[in-house]
Amino acid sequence: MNQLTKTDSNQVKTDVAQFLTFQAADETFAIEILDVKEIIEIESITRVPMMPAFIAGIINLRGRVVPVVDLSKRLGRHSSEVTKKSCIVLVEIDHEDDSQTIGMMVDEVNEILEIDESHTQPAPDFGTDLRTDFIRAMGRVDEKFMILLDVNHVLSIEDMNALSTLKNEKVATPEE
Amino acid sequence: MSIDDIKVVFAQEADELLVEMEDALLALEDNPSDKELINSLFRAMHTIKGAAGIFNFIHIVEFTHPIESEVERLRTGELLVTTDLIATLLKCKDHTVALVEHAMNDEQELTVELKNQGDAILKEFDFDDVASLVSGQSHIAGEDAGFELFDESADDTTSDSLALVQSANPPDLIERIAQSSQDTLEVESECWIISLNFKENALRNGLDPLSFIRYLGKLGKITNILTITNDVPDLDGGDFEGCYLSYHIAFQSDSSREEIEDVFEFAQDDCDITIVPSRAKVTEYMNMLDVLTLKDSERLGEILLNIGAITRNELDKALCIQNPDGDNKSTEAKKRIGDILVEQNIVGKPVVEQAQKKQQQVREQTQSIRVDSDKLGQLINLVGELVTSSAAMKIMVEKHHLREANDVVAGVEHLVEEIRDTALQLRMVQIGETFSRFRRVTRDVSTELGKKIKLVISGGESELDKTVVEKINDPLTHLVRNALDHGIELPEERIANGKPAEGTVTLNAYHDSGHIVIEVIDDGAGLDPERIRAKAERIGLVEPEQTLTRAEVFRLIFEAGLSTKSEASNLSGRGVGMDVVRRNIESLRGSIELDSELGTGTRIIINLPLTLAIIEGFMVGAGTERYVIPLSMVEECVEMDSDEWTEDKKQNFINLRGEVMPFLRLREFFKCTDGATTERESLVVVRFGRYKAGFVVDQLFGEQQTVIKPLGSIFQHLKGVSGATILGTGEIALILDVQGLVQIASAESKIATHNSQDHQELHNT
Amino acid sequence: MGLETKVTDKTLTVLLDDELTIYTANLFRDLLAEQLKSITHIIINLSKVTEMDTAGFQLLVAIKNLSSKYEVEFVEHSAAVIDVLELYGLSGDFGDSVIVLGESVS
Repeated sequence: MNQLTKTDSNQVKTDVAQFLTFQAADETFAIEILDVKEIIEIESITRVPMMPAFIAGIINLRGRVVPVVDLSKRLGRHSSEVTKKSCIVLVEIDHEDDSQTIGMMVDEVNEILEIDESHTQPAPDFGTDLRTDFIRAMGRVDEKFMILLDVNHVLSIEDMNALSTLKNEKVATPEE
Repeated sequence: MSIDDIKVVFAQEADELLVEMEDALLALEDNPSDKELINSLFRAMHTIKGAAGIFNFIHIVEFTHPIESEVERLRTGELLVTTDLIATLLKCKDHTVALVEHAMNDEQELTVELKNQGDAILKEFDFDDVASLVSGQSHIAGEDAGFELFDESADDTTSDSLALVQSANPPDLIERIAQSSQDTLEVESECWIISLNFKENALRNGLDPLSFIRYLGKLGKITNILTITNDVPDLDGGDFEGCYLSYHIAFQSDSSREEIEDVFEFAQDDCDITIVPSRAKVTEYMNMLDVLTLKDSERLGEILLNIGAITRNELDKALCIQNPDGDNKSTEAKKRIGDILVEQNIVGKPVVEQAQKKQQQVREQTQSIRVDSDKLGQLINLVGELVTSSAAMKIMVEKHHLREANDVVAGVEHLVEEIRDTALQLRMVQIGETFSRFRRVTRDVSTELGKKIKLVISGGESELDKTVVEKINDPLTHLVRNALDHGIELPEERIANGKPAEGTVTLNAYHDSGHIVIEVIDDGAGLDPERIRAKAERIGLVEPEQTLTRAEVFRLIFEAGLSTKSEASNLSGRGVGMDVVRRNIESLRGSIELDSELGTGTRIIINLPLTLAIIEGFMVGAGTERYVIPLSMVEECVEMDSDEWTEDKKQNFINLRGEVMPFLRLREFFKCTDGATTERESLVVVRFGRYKAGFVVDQLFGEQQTVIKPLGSIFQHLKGVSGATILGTGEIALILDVQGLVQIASAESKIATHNSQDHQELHNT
Repeated sequence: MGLETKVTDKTLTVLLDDELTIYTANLFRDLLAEQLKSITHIIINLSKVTEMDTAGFQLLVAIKNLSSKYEVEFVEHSAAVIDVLELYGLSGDFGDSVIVLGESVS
């Protein structure tokens, strides 16, 4: 029994995970491929007024309305201009008992990498201007480190809601 | 002749007999020994008792039976006519009148008053006195008894008295009365009532009622028979070859209706036959109806025939009455077969109603099928896609100037609209069921809290989308509980305040231009605006110097933090999480408003869209962006270059033909970045309940079928936008939350006119 | 076919001696009607009624209805008469002796 558990955990540890790397605000980030539902080109994004700037708007995904987050802005950076290379990475986020599709606007999608679990290490306490809860781990690829994002935190609906409530109140009660 | 008609006949007969009885009693005062008068007394009581027995009017039987016995004793001379006795008998007559009246009202239970009255009157017959009389006479009678009992010269009063005396000493007499009436009654509730009315030619045609009745006796027990001889002609000149009799027969038997009818098969042409089933049979029919599995579209007559409640013959007759010409084409409104059967007293109304109900059930089952609501939802989604695709097609056709396709496009568009309406209708349900659930809540809470509360429901037939109904239940429960728990005061308190002890909570629903309005009204303690205001200031919701209208104060109730549980008692306990209620309602694209009068009650008005799926929208442009306003809320559109409206830039409101209203310039409000200001702005006047506002827009695109797409939880706190829709071009337009925007507009216009007294009116326009 | 009548002391006593049916009812009616003068009391003896049907019964009803003008009595009901009266639930109305007879017979 003991042995079995050990083998199991060993297996997890030695498991190789695949990551999608992409550019946002002139930096390379990666998210686990299992979180990615689909990658689409940017056609037209409808702006939703009175929302925080990191909410790029909504798109029509085969008849469904899907919100799109400007990842650069969400990460607190300046967003770069939308180019031909810009993409929307669609991810599935758990929210309450449901899951919701959210688009993540990035500057460019690079490649799919395999990163061995052993080549990752926890996020450093300092040395990055990102909110630490956004970082799942640091991954080492060819002696270079890149940030593996925790999409469930980056695109946390609760978190974004809290921000848009703040924003909303400012709009709704301009006298304050 | 229906059972009611027979009853009426009974009442008439009883009436006549009772009048006769009264006349006789009054005449007896002068001629105490007039036998014929005494006979008519006896006849009245005897006949009424008998007939009442047949109709199972227990109370009449119970009352008249002892009287009959008393009168019998008068007949025999055992009792003497005294003024007291006449007085008592007059009372008896009056009481019988009352009982007959009571019986006509179809009430089974005797009122206590009537019962006591009756008992009191019967007590006036002094049975002790009877005892001495009887024993005294029994001696004399005994002497007579030995001889000449049936001698034609014998005084029949003597033999009469003998018969009675032999069998009766007082306690026994009373017992016998009780027993006999009980027996009759118990038996008769199990009896069929067969009414025969022979036509004059019956005897001449060789049909003697006797033979039929005798034959009937073979099928069961004739427990009572009432032969009505009123029509028999006078001896002088009467033709006794004609038949003048009718009968009501109480018949106890397990036979079926068909079998009973068969007895009279040969008499059918010369006799009107009415067969009223016994109660036991009626119960049996009801039970059979209950378990009966009906085939589709089985007709009422056939159902009744199947359970044996009617015979083929009766059905044919009824059909004949329904359709006398035998031609089915007649378009005149025909009587329903059930009504005819009831009228003809062939079947009791309850049986027919039960059968109709059953039929209805089956029809509903066959005419409706259960559909998984998910499938319905899927259908509606697809219809939504279809609406969008059809719009896309239209755009495509226009873009490529395919004029010859215009007709087709128009046709498709029209069909899509119909499909949309039909699909949405599939999911419409009445709100009544949701309302009814609160009856139990009301009852329970009343008992629990020692309050008296009546729940009044109206408008339960108003329909709305099932998905909305499902979601409205929770907030509604909240509001009703609030009204019950905290709104309605305790009875003592209410009385002290000059209100009726019983409080009323009203649930009302009605449709108002594409919306459903649900009201929760109580006549309870009401809310104190001062207190709400004070509390709001304390928690920093409003500034002390801020001027608020009454409506605005009450709107504070729905703010988070204002109506928490700990503050419940301070605010008459209302608003346990009213902010949650509001959020629930708003997530349905609805709104909630509250109005209250301290001491008088509270009214909460919920406004909801009928459906969360597809609406008629009105599309406008702000900058390059497109927005959809629910058409039901658009009051009118006025072009910019008309001189009908002017904008007061300082005060931030618009004057439209003298009407002043707050407004929003959507382009500015939504901070549309691109798109130059068009020269031709338009004003869209929207109405929300009592509130009106103007939206200044850059472009009017017109009406648009709008498939509502939820925005997703990221946008759940977004005010002013309630959803999105996908246009034919594939682009998305946002649907405006008119109420939210109107409130914002009001607030902005108020800021501009801060502390002005005038604006208070404004918010209520 | 027989109808014996005798009048004594303003009392008409009638002995019906035949069937009392549709075939005889009108006949009896005529015979009786002739006798109804200067009497106050009618006694109908039914002992010899061998058969009675509804027509006959109706005749009895009609005779009984004379009781507003005459004192009417039915006596010595034959079994055939009792049978009909009982079946019609009217034995009580045509003389109580019937009851006693009925009881003693049964």
